[in-house]
Amino acid sequence: MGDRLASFVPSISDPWDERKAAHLTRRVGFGAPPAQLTLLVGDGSAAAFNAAVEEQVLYPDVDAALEARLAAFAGGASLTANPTTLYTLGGHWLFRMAFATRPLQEQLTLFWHDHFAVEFVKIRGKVTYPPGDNAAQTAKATTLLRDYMELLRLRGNKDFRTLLLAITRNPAMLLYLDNYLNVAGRAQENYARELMELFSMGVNQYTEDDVRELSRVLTGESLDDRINLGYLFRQPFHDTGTKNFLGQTVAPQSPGSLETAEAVDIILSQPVTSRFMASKLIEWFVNPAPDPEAVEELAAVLRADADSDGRPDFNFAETLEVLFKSRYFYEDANFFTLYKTPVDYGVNIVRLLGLTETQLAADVNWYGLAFLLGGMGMGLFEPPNVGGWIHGEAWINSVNLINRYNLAERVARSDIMTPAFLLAYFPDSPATSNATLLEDFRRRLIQRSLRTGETDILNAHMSSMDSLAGATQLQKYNLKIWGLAHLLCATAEFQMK
Amino acid sequence: MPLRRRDFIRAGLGGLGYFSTAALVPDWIIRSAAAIEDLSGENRILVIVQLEGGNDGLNTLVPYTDPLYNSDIRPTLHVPTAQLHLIDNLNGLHPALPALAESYGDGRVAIIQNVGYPNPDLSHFVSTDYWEQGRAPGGPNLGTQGWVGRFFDQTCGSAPDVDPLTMVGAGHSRIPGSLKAVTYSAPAIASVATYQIQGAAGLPAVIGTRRLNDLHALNDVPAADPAIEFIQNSANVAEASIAVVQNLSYNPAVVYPSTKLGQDLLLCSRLIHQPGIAPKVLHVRQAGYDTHADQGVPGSPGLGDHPALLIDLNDALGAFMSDLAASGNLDRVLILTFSEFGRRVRQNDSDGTDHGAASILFVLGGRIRGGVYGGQPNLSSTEDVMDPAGFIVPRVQKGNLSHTVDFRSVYARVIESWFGSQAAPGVFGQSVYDGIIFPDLPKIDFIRATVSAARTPWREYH
Repeated sequence: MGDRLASFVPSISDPWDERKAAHLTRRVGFGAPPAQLTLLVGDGSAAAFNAAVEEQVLYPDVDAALEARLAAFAGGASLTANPTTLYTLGGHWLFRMAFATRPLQEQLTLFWHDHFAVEFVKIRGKVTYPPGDNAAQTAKATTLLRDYMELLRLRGNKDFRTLLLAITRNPAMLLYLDNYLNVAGRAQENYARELMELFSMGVNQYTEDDVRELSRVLTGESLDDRINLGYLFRQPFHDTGTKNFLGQTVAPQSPGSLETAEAVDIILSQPVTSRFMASKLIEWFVNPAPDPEAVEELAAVLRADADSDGRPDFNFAETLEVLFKSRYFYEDANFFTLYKTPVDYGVNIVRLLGLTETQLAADVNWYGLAFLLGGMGMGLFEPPNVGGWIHGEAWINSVNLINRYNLAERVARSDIMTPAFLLAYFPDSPATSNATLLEDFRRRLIQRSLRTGETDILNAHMSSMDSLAGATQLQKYNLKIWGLAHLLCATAEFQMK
Repeated sequence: MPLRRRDFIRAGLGGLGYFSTAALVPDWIIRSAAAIEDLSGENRILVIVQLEGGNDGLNTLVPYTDPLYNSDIRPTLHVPTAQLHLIDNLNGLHPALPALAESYGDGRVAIIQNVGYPNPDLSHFVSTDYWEQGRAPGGPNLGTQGWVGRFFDQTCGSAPDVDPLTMVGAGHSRIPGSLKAVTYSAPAIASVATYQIQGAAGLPAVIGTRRLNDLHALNDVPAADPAIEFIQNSANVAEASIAVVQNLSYNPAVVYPSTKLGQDLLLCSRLIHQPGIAPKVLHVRQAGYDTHADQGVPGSPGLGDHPALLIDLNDALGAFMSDLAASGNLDRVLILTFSEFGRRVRQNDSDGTDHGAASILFVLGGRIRGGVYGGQPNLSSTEDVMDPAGFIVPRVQKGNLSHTVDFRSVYARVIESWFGSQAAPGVFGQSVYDGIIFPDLPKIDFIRATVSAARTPWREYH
């Protein structure tokens, strides 16, 4: 193990503290309020640090508490029990992000959705049965997307080999990139190209001949029919010749689907694959400009062969554990370097303010939230194209900022942040001082210092609420908190994580 | 990348704060001479229409007399001559494009064939980057700004006051790549209806006004961190553009299609016709051209994914041009389409085509010298061809059409002959200008009323 990914060890001069815990939870999940951060910090020891990271990063396949919570809530007016449309499915996923016990599971699923991008519209267009029944067709397309999402959720922290094979055979992906039409003698190149260029190796790491040869390998990975849209390997579609792919020979096998596994092994054995995936993980979780040393070290972790089967493991749980325990992750230069995606922004607000599903049901229901995020260019299952979303500065533009501000304004209203809810922040309010209010919400939402000019404006805002004629003390208190929530979420600081 | 907008924004604040009760366009939205270097004196505008996914040029403008365009290369996608809108004795427009054919007849459409770049890349993302950023493999490293963004940065980047609506992404949820600049953030306006900042709904107006004023003030606090500064500048642009977008007064007599493209071009029209602002570059996007499958329906050239897109393009551009013509503005607007590549000459067996290379693009407007430029496509994989104008159209390579006109030359022609600027060598690199663009220019003389280069650029007056 090199230097950058060696484990962080807390010390007096560089402690395990709330600042680092907030950084961890902002990145692996969607943020955590002060009470949870305090628990994660514990006594600040190395043991507490390791336990905190493991608690955030290692998760069981099924989040039982989340499933129970979802089952209890869904079926009402604001979230259906069974999603049959794009926005209801998006609503389900947003619910999971907001209330997951181990939010890395959802953040990682989002990473994989961005990585193995598919578009609902294109898949929906290929569902043509039952004829004339739009609702049933949409429901079927939604089911395909749901299965695709579940695949990413379940396999996202396992090994890349299994994940690549599974996504190659996933019906939503087969439809999206046309591999179900990939037949011997009439090769369909779309999936083969993107499998190498976008999903594993990166641009310009292969030749056009490799694209054609990989297309031949993947012939037969198809669907059973256009009604059921289930995966089926169809040997009659398969090109039974010898292929030459990335400098290696793929001899014909029986059944031909064994060649797909071999092609995946060939891809994983390319040095560029581990670097490409290491770089992607670091760009998503650490810094848009990945440190080259860190990329090399993380790539080596991906390539490790712990099970000694002669092939690189590409185990994501182990790799991410190394990353989130590393000194590199906690370097100052990596704090607040990522721009929040629209999903980050929306789910942040829910988690940091401690909102519950019942409160949100008042009007910003889950479908509405999914729709709103679509308006910001990050509709779940609606990436702009097969390359996923463009992140970073691209999220900062007029329409995005306007929608973010308006989401914060909508949340900061009496039907969601109810007076009773606001009293829970400061039980001895409305006597709580303005200074305390500001400090608490700065700590909760911004998680770093504000500029003097900003605190001046926010203090003046609170004073102006205090001077409102005809308002009771309690009303003034409510107005001040709504104002703080709305305005703090509109600061430039809050757009970074 | 600091923008110094605060000075002219603050000048309009007066004593009432940023948002007064009267919903008028603030008088600080000024028409600025420094909103892209336009020496025409006519306040000319460029409208970019991005066809996203790779448009099949061969089926858009069909070389119907070419025996190599046949049912062998296109068993199910071949468009029969009888269905085409013939525009000359070599080419016909796809049946889905009657309005474009009519505009061509009026001399308002230039179609440039064989447009591409050396060593074409078949990746959507790489090739889109090239087209948006005005660069190509092996060329100089010019940064990741858009070509229009670079044109702006190099000519007007240090201007003290720039109209926030100089460039607009209409119907976009992010800044279009072509418009990305260092010294300027173009507003992206996904829809007019939602382009508004809420103060405090359900509460007394004085509270909402206070929130809006404080939100504005927060984004004016000086920042040392460049990322924070960037975000705040973008917020300022958003606020400035809202005031305009919520007060657009123009309603055309022409009916635009209700499609996204139609409505986005309607927004462009309303911005063009709005008094008191001076948009220079407007950008819209039409998605869906990556027709690997179901591009067409065998036996029905009017059906399939590609014809559906062309119908939308035809109707939307048709409405836009009729609108501009009716109001007398067609002469100061130039519409340019682009796509990251064309498609493979030979179709695949999913009734589609795979990624290609060279393709056509359209230039439309009232000051266009109509016609077909760039030669005919060469569908032979064995022989190069000499175009009647004397240049060589290379053979098909690796199944894809070869280019004769570099797309950067088209852009340079727009910069030089539409806006009258000498900035092209700086925007694309001197070596590219000398070696590639300059030799191409005689092939693409598609602007009728060029700008005199004798006029002095604005910056020499300041």
